[in-house]
Amino acid sequence: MRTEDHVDLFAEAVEADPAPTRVDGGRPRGLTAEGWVRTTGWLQVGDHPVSSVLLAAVAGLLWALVGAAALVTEFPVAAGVLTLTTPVVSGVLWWLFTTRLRPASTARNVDTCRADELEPGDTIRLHGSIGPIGQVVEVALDDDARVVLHGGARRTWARDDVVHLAELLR
Amino acid sequence: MPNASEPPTTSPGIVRRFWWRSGQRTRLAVACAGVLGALAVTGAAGFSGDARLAERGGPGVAVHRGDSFEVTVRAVSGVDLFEGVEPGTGRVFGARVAGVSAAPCWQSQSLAVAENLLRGKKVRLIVKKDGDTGTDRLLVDVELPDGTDYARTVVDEGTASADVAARGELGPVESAARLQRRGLWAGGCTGYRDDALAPPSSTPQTSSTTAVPTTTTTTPPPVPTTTTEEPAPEPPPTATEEPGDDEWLARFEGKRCLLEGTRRTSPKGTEIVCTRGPRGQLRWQRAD
Repeated sequence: MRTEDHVDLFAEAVEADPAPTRVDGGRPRGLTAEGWVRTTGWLQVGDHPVSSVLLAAVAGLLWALVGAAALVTEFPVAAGVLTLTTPVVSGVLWWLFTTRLRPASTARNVDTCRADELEPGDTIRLHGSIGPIGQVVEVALDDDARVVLHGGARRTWARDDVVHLAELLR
Repeated sequence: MPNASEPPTTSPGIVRRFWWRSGQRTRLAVACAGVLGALAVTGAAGFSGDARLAERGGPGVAVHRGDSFEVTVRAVSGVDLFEGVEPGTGRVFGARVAGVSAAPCWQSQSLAVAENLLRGKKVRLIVKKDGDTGTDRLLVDVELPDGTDYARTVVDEGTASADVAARGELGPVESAARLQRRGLWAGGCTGYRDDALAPPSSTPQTSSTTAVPTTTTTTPPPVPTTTTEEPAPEPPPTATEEPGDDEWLARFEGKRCLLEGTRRTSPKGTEIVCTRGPRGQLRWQRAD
């Protein structure tokens, strides 16, 4: 039913300041009360972000190999156990850290644009090419691009600064 | 390392800002440098620990009774103490020879003999007691390059006395050396362990048993079994009676000796001397 001003009183309410969502529409892990999303990972090969759990496991494996080399003559069994368990423990601990202790989402950079080309609804990296993600609510252009983000935070870039557009995966 | 981002509203620190704003190549370089640094520190800590153990003379590995391995002797600090390096691993072993007891006298001579026998030689060690890795000297038997037993050799030559608590079979060897007045038993160590070992009853008697009462303090030193004021009776004729000069010479001449310049006199007065031969080896030769 519409009023004289053509307002549909029964239409779904349109949220003026929508929260960032995952690609599949779900609520992202690591969405903070301030409206930005904590993310994990810092390496992306093409379109594929490299799992930070895998990186933690690889770092643990390298460390374990060196430790095992130092131990193998004196404690060969311990050296073997260290080599096998350290990567697993490293990966699991990091996974627990990023899912339980400090939840964070996996994100993928999909494009870049100039700051003065940002539009409401864009999901962007707030600091460079990795790190937290916010959703643009409003863009005001003067000498700079003044951006209001979901949750009320504000960022200002020079108009020709490059901003990374990203999407939240899980 | 992986990164979990921090609140943008509470201005992130300079390190995080640098990390987030850096390019992927920079991040990879920083991460690789960090990992390599961690590996280097770990390796340095692990391997320098081994080196410290080696410097302390310990093996740095668990060794057990019965283990056997070869080392090249690099330092001899006593007739029963030395350090060797395992050729394959470079690991340093501190060792103490089982069954050998250094005399408080005769030390320079015994050290010279030990160095002559051991230093620079590749010898085989047989561990006598589980090792406290990295800290203690290993208690070992030592097999010389020619296969002879080092402890038996030095005790037989009178270079050191036997530690019968460790190796009881060396007791008769020492008794024989004492009776034949070899090495420190020739008078260079008067009074040392006079009553430590009774010579076995089957040991052949020599001319030294015919003399000196215990009250005499001049050389030659008393033989442990001679305790009366009267001269000892002549030993009964047995199959082990004193050898003739030729036989005596045959036992020594050309055989290996340990200390250059050492002299020995047969019962009939023929003198032999430990002399370095053309190949540099020490052999008994007639003094004339």
